[in-house]
Amino acid sequence: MKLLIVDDSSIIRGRIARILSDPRLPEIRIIGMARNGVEAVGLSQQFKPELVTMDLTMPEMDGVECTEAIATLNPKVNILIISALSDKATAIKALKKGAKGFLYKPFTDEQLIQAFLEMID
Amino acid sequence: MATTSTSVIATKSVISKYRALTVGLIVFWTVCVGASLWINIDRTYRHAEEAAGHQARTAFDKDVIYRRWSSRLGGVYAKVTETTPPNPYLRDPERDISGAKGEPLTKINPAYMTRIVHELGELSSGIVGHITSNNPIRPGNEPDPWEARALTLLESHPDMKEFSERQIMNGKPYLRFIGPLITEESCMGCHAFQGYKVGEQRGGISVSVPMEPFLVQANSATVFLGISHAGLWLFGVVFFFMFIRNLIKSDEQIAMAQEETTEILTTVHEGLFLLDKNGKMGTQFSASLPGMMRREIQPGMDFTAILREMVPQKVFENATSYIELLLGNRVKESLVADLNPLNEVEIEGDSGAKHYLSFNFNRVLEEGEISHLLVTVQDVTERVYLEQQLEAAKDRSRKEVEVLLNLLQKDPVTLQQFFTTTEQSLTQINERLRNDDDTMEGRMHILAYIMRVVHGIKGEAAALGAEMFESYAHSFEQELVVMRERGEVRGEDIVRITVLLEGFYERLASMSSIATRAVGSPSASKDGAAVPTEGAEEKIIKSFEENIRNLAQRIAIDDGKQVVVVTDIAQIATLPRRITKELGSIAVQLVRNAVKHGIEPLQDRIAQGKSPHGEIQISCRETEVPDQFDFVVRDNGRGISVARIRKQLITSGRMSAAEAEALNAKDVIMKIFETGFSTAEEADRDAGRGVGMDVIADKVLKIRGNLMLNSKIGEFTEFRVRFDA
Repeated sequence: MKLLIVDDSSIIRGRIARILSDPRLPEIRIIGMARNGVEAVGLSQQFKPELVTMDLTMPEMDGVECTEAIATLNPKVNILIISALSDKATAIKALKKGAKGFLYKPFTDEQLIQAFLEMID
Repeated sequence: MATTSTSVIATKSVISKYRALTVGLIVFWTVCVGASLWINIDRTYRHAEEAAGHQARTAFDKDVIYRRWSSRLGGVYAKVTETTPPNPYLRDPERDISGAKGEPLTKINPAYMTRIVHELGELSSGIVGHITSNNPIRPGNEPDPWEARALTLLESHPDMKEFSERQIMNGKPYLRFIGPLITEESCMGCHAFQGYKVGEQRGGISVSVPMEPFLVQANSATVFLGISHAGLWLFGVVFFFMFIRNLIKSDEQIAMAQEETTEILTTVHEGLFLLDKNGKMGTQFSASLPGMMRREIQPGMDFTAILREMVPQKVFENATSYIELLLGNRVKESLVADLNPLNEVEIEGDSGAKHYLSFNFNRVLEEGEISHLLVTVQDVTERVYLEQQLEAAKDRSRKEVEVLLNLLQKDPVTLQQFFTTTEQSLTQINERLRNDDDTMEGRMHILAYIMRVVHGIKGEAAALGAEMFESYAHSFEQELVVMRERGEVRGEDIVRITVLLEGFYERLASMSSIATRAVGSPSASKDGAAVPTEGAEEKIIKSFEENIRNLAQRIAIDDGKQVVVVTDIAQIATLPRRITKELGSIAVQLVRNAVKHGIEPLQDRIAQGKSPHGEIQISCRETEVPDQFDFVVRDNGRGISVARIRKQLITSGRMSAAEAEALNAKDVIMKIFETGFSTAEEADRDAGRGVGMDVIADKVLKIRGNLMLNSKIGEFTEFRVRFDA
């Protein structure tokens, strides 16, 4: 399964990458890490990820727009919004644009693994 | 029991509902089976008749054929025997001839032949053949009544090829058959004289087949039919009963399920209802829902419309989007629960206090498809308030720790002193509780003593900004006031006081451990005397000043007053520790009194043309007498009103009007130093306990000082403590 991580924080990118070795998860291969929406759309076009983790507040192109762009490219993609946003409205907007789930930042490893399992279920 | 009886009622109504159906089905089934039986029996007997008819027809056809054969030959000759005599009715000159050996032969004409065959047939098979005509040559061939009728029928209907009917002959059932005989050329030889013409129908042959063998067969078939139909009927009836029983059972189950649902919906605390894809509420909802939503709820109401009235526009928009997402199957239910905008929402009611509801949405699947959302509504008002309170409390204690830490940094000596003196005071209370005389009078004395100590701690805590201690001391004090006002201290009161003291110790221990952790080892020795350090004097004055200012400002802010504290206390630093300690406590109580009782409310001051902020002066100076000091707390407030004290003495019931009037001004003022006196109308943590002045008096006594009071109504109040260092 191909994963694209979209987050402008290298710490979050690193954390997501770290949990992928959990035995409960199927084999997930990171095909790219994007620091902003523009990069993310580019990587999606090139590598067609099946799973995307998406930050909402990013420079250049925000998460909602980016979600819409990626979901338009591939309607079957599983996008998980990961955000510290206190504004639920933006997250709901992203879901309406094609994301499948939402995870609050900060999160525990276990929460992230469970979210991944739900997403690819 | 309730459930059982209702289910019995349900069963009864279900049964009566199905009684008509049961009766109808059985009647219908009976008619069907009856009709089938009747048709089958009828067919069986008809078959029997047909079989007999067939036999009769065969016999008839055979007769016709051999007659034709015989008439074409013009008859045949046979030897004359007893059973074959010459036919007397045959008009033929060649009727009797001789054979080759001279033996007599006679002609057997077709009619004669037929008769002979019929006689033989009757003997062998019981089938009675009879050649007949309405105009017979031989009298024996005359028709019987049935044959006569049948012949007439056939003659009048030339197209009829045969006629048959069941008849009783000689008391036995027969099928009687008759077929017409058509005149042929060969017949004319004998019958021409009668005027017959070729092609005419003249007479016929009747065949009577005994029905008995056929009927026996038909009867046994009928018995079989009867039995099988009875079985079929019974099977049907049983089937119907089972069918109805199943219907009743399933109806009962439905009724029971419905009853259970109703029971659940009436008892459950949560608001429950189903929401369909068009945003409409289901037909059933829990009884608690309307109360929770504070509105009338009708089945099938538009939830979106209700929601629009209940929450702000923005929340409403988010909520409808969220519901839409859940009704679609793209998002994962478990991964969006955190985004529920109605998780804790303040409801905009038309009236009453605001309340908070929590709406939770769960998908309801039907055959794998999302059909509805189950909405669970909870009133979370209490939880929200608790959370708010908890948050506020957290905030307060955070501030308090901050204050303490601040104090620790700036003035660890004072803080440590507070911990130590408080602990000592508490220990002293404990000891007195243990040792003092246990008379009611003794107990009341201890009570007054404890009140003074607790009040003192409260004042010091307030001065330090340790609100947790202050408020604990305040509630401690409130309980003590109740006991004092009751006028007796019971055994359980002593227990209660011990418990309260324990609470004090705990708070003290946790605070002092925080303090110890924050600065390492305490800078005070165990006996409470501060270890003199470099610059300690300056510190004492500074913290003394700061404490007093903080206390004055805090009380002023609480009361909506403005105060300025002016100090001149440098000489305090030269005094021995045992005196400064007491002076601190005295200052706290006096400043508190000054802000609380002395300084007027802002509007009063303005109305009197005074400056809006009151002023409190605190000074400590050596008098002309060496080693004699005056510690003065003076405010420019309303002054002490003798009239006001007198009035309070009367209204509080401490004195009758006459007694109060009899006192002179000095005696009236002395009353404020008595335990339990207060002019504040409502007790709060800063005034009104009627402890305070007596604490001061107590402390002044400890340093062997004198307390002097000077006051002018509308201008000032001054307390002066004079003591020797």
